[in-house]
Amino acid sequence: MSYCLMCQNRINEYFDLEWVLSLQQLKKKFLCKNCQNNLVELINYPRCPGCGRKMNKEDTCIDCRKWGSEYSDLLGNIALYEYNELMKKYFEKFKFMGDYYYSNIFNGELKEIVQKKYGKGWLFVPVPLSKQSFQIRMFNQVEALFSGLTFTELLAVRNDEKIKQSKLNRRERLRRRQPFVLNSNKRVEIEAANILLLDDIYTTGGTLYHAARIMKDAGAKKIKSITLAR
Amino acid sequence: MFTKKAALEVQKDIIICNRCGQKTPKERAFLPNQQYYCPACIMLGRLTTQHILYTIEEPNLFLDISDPLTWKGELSKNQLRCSNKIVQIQRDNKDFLLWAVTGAGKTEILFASLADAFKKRKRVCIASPRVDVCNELHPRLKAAFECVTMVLLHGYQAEKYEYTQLVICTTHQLLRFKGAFDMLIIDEVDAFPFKNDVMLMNAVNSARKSVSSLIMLTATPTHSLMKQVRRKKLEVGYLPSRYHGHELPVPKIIIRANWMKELQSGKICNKLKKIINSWTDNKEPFLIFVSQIDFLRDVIVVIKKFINGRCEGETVFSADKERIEKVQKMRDGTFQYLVTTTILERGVTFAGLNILVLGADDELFNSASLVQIAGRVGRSAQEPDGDAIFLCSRKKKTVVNAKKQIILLNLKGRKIKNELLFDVPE
Ligand SMILES: [Zn+2]
Ligand SMILES: [Zn+2]
Ligand SMILES: [Zn+2]
Repeated sequence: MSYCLMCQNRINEYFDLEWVLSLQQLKKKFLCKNCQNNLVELINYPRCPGCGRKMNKEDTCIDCRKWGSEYSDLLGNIALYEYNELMKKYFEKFKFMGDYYYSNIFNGELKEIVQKKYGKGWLFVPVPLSKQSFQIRMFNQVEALFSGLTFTELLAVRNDEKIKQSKLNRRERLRRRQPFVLNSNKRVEIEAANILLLDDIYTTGGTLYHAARIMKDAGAKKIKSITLAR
Repeated sequence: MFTKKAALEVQKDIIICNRCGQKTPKERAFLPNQQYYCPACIMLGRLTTQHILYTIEEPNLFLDISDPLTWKGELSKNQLRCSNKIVQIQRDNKDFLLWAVTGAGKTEILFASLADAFKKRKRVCIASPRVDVCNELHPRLKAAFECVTMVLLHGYQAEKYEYTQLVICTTHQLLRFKGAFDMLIIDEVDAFPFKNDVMLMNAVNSARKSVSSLIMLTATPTHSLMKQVRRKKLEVGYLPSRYHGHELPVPKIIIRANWMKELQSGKICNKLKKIINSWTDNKEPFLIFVSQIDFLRDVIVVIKKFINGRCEGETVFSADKERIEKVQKMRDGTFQYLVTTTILERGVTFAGLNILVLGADDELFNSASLVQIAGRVGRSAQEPDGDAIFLCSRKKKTVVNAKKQIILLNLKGRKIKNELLFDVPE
C-alpha cells in the first residue's frame, strides 16, 4: 500500500477506464486520485502563447504584450500546471521545507515533455539559485525537477543579489535589475545556440526575461522556456 | 549541562533520526549533495546529516505557587474518586490509563493532579494528536491556572516557544523535548496518528524524565494498552458514565457485498433508503462517514439525487476551506446532513444526531474509531437517542468488536451503576 505525498491518504490501487485513458501513470505512484484531480493541466485549456497561462480563448495576455514590446521575441513558455492551492502546497513542501524527494512527482513528465518538444540542437539551461539559497536548501529545485536531462549551466546569480524573490512584490520584481551573470567560461557555447530555459514557476516572467536578455545579448539564436507551474 | 550528538545516523541502507527516532530508506532521504535528511519530522524544520542536536538538562526553574488552581467548579462523586487516583499516580511517578467514555469530563478530572504537580514545581505537558483539542484546552487551562506559565505549540500557529511550566502541544511537537517533563498527559491515546505510530511512542518516552508520571486518556483503549493492563504493567481507571447518563447506541451492522459498486452506479439499497427516509421525514440531522476523500464526491451525488431537495447537505473534509462554515450550517439547521471523512469523527457534536458509516469494514476504520463515531450519536441530554448504522461489504472483526465494546461498556455502566472501577475490564 502506498500513501499520497500531498495528503497522506491511501492511494487506491484499482484502475478504472478514466484512469487508463488519462495517461497519468507516471504520477500514480506519488499522488492520490483526489490530489491529481486538483491539478489543473494547462494543456487542456486555451492558453496565452507567450507565457502558457490559462485564458478564456487562445490569445496573448496583457503581460506578454508588454514583454513583447520590450523584448521583441516571446518565450513561448510551456507550463504544465496552473499555480493553484495544491501547487502552492507542493512548493511549500518541496522548495521551502526542502523535501527533495517531492521532485519525483513531476520529474518524469517534465523530462518527457522537454525531450518530446525540444530534441537535438537545444541547450537546456536551468535558472540558477543564489549561493545563499543553495546553502540552505542544499539543492537547486529546478535541476531537481528536470533531473535526468543534460544541463548547460550558462547562468549564475550575481553575487550581490541577496533579496529573495518571494519577498518582493510584483512591481519591485519587475523593476529589479538584471539578477544574472554569464558563466564566463561558457560564453562561446551561447553563440547562435538554441536555448531552452528551465524554471519551476512562471510568476511575472521577470526572471525568465532577464535570463533571456543576457543570452540574447551574448548571441543566442532562439530562446524558449518551460516551467512546472504558471 | 548539555549533551550533543549528530542529528542523523547513516547506516548501510537507512538513516536513523536522533530527533524522531524514525528509520528512512536512503533513497527517500537522499540529497544531491551527498547529504541525507529526515522526512519523518520535516514539519519541525529539516534536519540533515550536517546538523548537531543539543540537549539541555531540565532545571525546573519555576515560581512557588501556593494555590495554583483558580478553577472553582465541582466534581461528581465518580470524577472525584478518579481525580484522587491520578493525584496519587502523579506523586508516585507511575503510568496510568484513564478509560473515560466521551463526555465524562476528562479535563476537570486532571485539575487536582495538575495543581499538585505545579505546587511541587514539576514541569507538565499535555499532548493531543489533534490541533483542535489543543486549541480548545489552552483557554480552559489558562482560566483554571491563572498564575501558571503555559505555552501552546502546534504546526499551524506562530506562538513562539518559551520556557514554561505547562506545555500544551500536538503529539508531533513532543519530538522537540528530551527528558523535559515530570508529568506527561496524552489525550486520545488511541487516535490516529498516534496509535501504532512508533515515532510518536518514542517521542513520548524520550520527552518525559526517567522519573515521571504518564497519564493516558482514552475513550477506547487499544489492544496493546489492554495487554499492558492485563499484565499489570499499567494501572487503569474506568469512568463509564456519559454526562447525561445515557448509554452508547448499539450500532446496527448491515452487510451488503456490492454497496460500493451500486453506489458508484447511482443506486442505494432499500434498507438504506428506508433509514435515510426516516431521518429526513423526522427532520433528524445525520452524518455519513466515508473512509477517504476520494469517495466524497460519488456519495454526495447519489445522496442528493435520492433526497431530491427534501433537505440540504454538503461534503466536508479536514482540509476543506469552507469546513467551519459548513459545520456551522449543520449546527444552525441549514444543513440536515454532512458527508464527511473520518477526520471529523472527534469533537463534533450535534443534538439528536444519527450516523451512517459507509464501508465500516474499510481498513482505515479500526474498532476504536468506530466506537468514537458511534459515540457521536445523540450527544445531548434532550435528545439522547439516535441510530448508528455500519454498512459493510463483509463481516469484519473490527466492526463486530466495536459493537461488542459498546455493549460491554453499556453493561458495565449498568452493572456498577456509574461507580468508578479500578480494575481490569475483560
Ligand atoms: Zn492526495
Ligand atoms: Zn502571457
Ligand atoms: Zn526525524
